[in-house]
Amino acid sequence: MTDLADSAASGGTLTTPVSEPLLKVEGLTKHYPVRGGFFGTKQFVRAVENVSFDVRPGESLGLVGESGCGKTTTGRMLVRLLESTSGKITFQGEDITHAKGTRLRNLRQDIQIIFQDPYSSLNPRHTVGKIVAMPLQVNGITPPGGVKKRVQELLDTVGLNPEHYNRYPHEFSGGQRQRIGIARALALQPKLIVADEPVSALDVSIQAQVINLLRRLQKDLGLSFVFIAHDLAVVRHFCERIAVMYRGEMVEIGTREEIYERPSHPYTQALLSAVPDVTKIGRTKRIKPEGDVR
Amino acid sequence: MTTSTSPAEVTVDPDAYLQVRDLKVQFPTEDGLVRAVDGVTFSVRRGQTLGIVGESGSGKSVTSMSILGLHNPARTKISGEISIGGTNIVGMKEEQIQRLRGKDVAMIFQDPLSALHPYYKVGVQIAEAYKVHHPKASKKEAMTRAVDMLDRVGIPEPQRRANQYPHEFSGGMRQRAMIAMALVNDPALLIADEPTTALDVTVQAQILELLEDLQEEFHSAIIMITHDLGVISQVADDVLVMYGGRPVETGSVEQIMKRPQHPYTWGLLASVPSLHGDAGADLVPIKGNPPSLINLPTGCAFNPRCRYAGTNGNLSFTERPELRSAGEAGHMLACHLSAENRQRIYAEDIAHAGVAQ
Repeated sequence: MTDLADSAASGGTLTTPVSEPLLKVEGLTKHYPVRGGFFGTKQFVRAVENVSFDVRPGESLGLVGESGCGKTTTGRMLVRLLESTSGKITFQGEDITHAKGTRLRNLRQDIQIIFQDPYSSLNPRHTVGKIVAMPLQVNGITPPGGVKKRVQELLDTVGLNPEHYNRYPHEFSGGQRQRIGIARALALQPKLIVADEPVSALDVSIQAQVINLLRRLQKDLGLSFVFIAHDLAVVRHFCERIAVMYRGEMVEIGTREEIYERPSHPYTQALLSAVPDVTKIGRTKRIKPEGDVR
Repeated sequence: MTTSTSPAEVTVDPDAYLQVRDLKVQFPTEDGLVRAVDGVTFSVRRGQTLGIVGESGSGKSVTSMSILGLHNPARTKISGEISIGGTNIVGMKEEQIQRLRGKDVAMIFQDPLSALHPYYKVGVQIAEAYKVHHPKASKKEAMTRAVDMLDRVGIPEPQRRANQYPHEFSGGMRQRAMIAMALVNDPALLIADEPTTALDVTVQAQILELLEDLQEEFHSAIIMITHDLGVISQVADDVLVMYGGRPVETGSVEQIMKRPQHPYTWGLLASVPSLHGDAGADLVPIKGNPPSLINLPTGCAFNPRCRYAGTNGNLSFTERPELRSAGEAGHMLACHLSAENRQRIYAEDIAHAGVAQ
């Protein structure tokens, strides 16, 4: 793992010393049992195997890899939507690997998630106001000035019209829905946001709008991000540090420059060479990885 | 709607295998008439690839579906001309189109899992596609052909794989199987509608390479529909950029990617992050959302999202721009901006953002 200072340059204001990570992940592992054997022969799908990294305040860490590499599973373990098989997650110096009850609820105020699909991640029967207010309600928080005022502030922050408070998700386009999801994630003023493919379901012109919004929020609010995506160009644009995953394992982690200019792992090199380059016209030479990801 | 009566200046290559002239596809709905495609003209020669770029609702998929005659004639109004190997299929009877479909024109869909039948073995499905156009072929012949095709598209152990179901295939393998099915009758024209969007980059690279190899081998014409400009620059010879059901810019891949002239093309290029250049620079998105095809803005359909609307008087809001020459041969453009303005704006605002840098 690389320790560095230059990565924080564009990461907004730092309140804590660089040396102290906000989130620390050590040896995180998730195994799913398959076909529980008749005589106790158990087999496992090793979805995530021994993954370690840390995220400093105000930093955004990119998690890239192909489908099935375990990046989403990792993200879900961080927000504790999935229980890890082994390993340790430390948030602000506190071991949260198996946090339960009130502690878990408090933790969820600090760590939020943005989902990939803006269509299935919003309840179609709830108004936008209700959706964004939900995290406040669940945690029994009444912000100064009332819930409605806070929700309207949030809608304004993410670039939606605060008057659309009473509308339903179907009245919004994909990009606007993703903004609603972002407003909901911001409701509790989290310190860390896990963004799982937040722009991959959107049209290109809309993608750029949402990426710019996330970058602005990161700067203005000093947020930390774990940014999960398969699009290497988007990750390069958004993250100062990038971890590359392959078949459940982390094969490389480094700064933007290290990963994109001097990738050392053969898989990273293959991945990068597979991205069609807009600046080059015609067939390009690629490094071929063997086989298919399953 | 303001329609200019002057005929489109676009010339269609008379030798091209596919020639589309002033194609219009409209769907009457309860809410009004959806002008999904509103006057598109293009042509593709054998051995060439045309890339069609646009966002959702730009009419790119509807265009390709009409080339295959896949629209329900009871609910669709189609006008214009689609000539495939010299036969105009607009207004043709379904039975006649069926004879062309699969044999002369084939399609690769975006989502191979929903395009393959889950109940039938992959080999059986490919053999069926072969038998439709070769009724005299025996079951065994068709199956041999299917296994052959699976082998050609690079599926290892084709004999065993042919006896498996789609769910036993990985995403990339499934897409290969679909390509095998599309190519089983040696079609002269292949339409690929977002063929790699659902795939990982390494698999995408393999599929694109495969398509190129097969194109070389069969000398087929390919229409590649995608929103990914990277894919376009890699495989296309010519590019058609669509917006709101109409072409806004068309030219060679070199012209569109290196010397784009339309503000929408600029917007697309500037909003895509790049693997090179300054990662700290903000992307320049296109403001707003794609328009509704029922109620397109008057004048230039792009005007509410265009930064430069109104630069040239009131024209953007009152008159729909027609495709005109953008200067170089083959480069056509539908925009009211003057050539000097376009050059100045491109140099000042666009050249340094996103992948355009």
